[in-house]
Amino acid sequence: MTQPLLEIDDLHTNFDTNSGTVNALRGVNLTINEGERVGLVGESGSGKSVTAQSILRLVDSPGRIADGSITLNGRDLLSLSESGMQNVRGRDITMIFQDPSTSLDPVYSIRSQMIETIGHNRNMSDAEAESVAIEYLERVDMPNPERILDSYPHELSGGMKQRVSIAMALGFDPDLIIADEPTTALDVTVQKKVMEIFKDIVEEEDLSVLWITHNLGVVAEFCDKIAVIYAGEVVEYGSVYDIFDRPAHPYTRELLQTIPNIERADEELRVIEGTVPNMRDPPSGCAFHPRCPDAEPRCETTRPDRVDGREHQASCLVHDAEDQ
Amino acid sequence: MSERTSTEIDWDGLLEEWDDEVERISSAESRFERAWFFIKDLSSHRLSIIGGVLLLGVAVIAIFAPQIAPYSPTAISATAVRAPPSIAHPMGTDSLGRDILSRVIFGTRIALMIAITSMGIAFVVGSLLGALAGYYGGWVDAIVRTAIDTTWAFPAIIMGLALASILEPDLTTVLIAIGLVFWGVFARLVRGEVLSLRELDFIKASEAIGLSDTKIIFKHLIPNAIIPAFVVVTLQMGNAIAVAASLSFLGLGVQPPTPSWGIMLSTGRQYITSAWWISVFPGLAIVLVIMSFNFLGEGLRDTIDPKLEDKR
Repeated sequence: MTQPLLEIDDLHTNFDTNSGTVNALRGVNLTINEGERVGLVGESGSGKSVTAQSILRLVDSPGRIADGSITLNGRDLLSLSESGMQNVRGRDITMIFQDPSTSLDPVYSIRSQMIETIGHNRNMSDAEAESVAIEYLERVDMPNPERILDSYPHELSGGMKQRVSIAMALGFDPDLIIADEPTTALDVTVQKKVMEIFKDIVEEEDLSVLWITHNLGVVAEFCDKIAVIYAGEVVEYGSVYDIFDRPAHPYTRELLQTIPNIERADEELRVIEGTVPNMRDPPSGCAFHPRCPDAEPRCETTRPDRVDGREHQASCLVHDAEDQ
Repeated sequence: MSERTSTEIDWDGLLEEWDDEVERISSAESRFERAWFFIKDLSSHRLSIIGGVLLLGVAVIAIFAPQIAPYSPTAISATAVRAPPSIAHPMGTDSLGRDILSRVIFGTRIALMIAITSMGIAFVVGSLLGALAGYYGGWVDAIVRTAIDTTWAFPAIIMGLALASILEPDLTTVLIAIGLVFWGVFARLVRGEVLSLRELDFIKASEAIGLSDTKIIFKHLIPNAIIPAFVVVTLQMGNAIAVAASLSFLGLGVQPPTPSWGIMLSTGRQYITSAWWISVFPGLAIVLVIMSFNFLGEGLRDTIDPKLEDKR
């Protein structure tokens, strides 16, 4: 149960552009144990999607993983050959994407897509793959799996397509599922239903999930652990209770303040002042100091210790997770 | 505050509605019905109907040329040299006494064969190189783009002329020359489509589940990028016929006595003042076929283009 499944250690991913190198990830540490649901939370541009791409080694050009290590079940993913990596993708780690309207190929029926991908990843015959497909379509609460298999993506609604994607990902029987904001593109009502379905299956099968999102509410409902990412670094890591009840890093606190609360309906919505730093030229010292309400002079010069992604820690000079 | 509680969301009601919606969508029309809708859409486009019917007629004429033509296309006659149109020779005869109508009828075979084969070559080569360039980018893309730009720097006819004069002037040469002139059109189109498809989640998903590049390119990129290329094939067929006719006209294409419309135009031009029918009828045939391809192509474009679909 507490066996580490995925260990990311000091991961640096850079994008070499014409106007200089962008340091998208600056030493990310994160551990996902078997059967654990970890939420990776951050603003746009904080590096959450790049982290996911780095795990699968699918960083878009001109990006490259510059330093660090990623270990899955004790296997170093960064030293695998490209064909070795192709076997990891889908089989060991699979990904559910954000936009259900584009995540299925419009020219093939659901049947041929599910059979192709499940058969490919599990070395199954078409008949076996089809029975797995039907099984998981039922699991995601699809009313009539046979008919869904015969349809084309444009005949399905967004929520249905996303459930097909989830069924497909589950059908691969992966060790780790990376979910890149799989519900943000859906209506709120549909979002709730898809979330519930996914959560039930994940809990029943004790799956490990890395859930990437900017929505803290979703994370609270779904995850065991939370990693808050800012400017390419995990600034705070801890259990859901640690993060919501005893946040240590000022950024986490500010982030929690921005959640609209129906009880405080009369208040104005809170925003975090300033913007995400330009990663071509990140601020010196602690990257959050220009926006931090508690910043001290030393924050400008000294870089705080990074969290190791194992227990509740905050990467902050001023606040310590243990004191909270 | 009390007002807010009264507007509380009715989750169960919404979910029920949603399930009804699911039912409605999944019982959408069958594939057969969709094909029927497509044909209905296409047939509401009057020009494409005209084009389609004319092309069908041309195809029938090409297939049954020996049965339809009143004379052999190569049979010469000493008694009817440059005879004007009459009952016996509806389009007259040429300077060797050959029946123009029969030659125009047999000419459809050459014209269609050149159009289909050369476009086939251009389509296959262009789509493949375009897909590779779009998917891999980098130096592959640079080479393909440079090659496209180079072929496009020359007008189609000059390019065809150059290629045809390097190679032996015969039918194969014409096919290759036209294929090489037009491949860039498809390469550019497919490359652009692939560039935008590559950013979509289903291609990223195909990568993320470990499909090989070959599978991604042939099973997912090309089938998705190919539909607009089909439209362009139809539109470009007319151009291919025009280039083929021009090459024949200049003596660099199909050689006499093959009944090619381009050759007929070319040999008829010296008699244009005394025997206009020798060049006018093959000319009209060329115009008719090119026009039909363009009409059909435009109809296809209007029917397939999803951007126009909303307006309908």
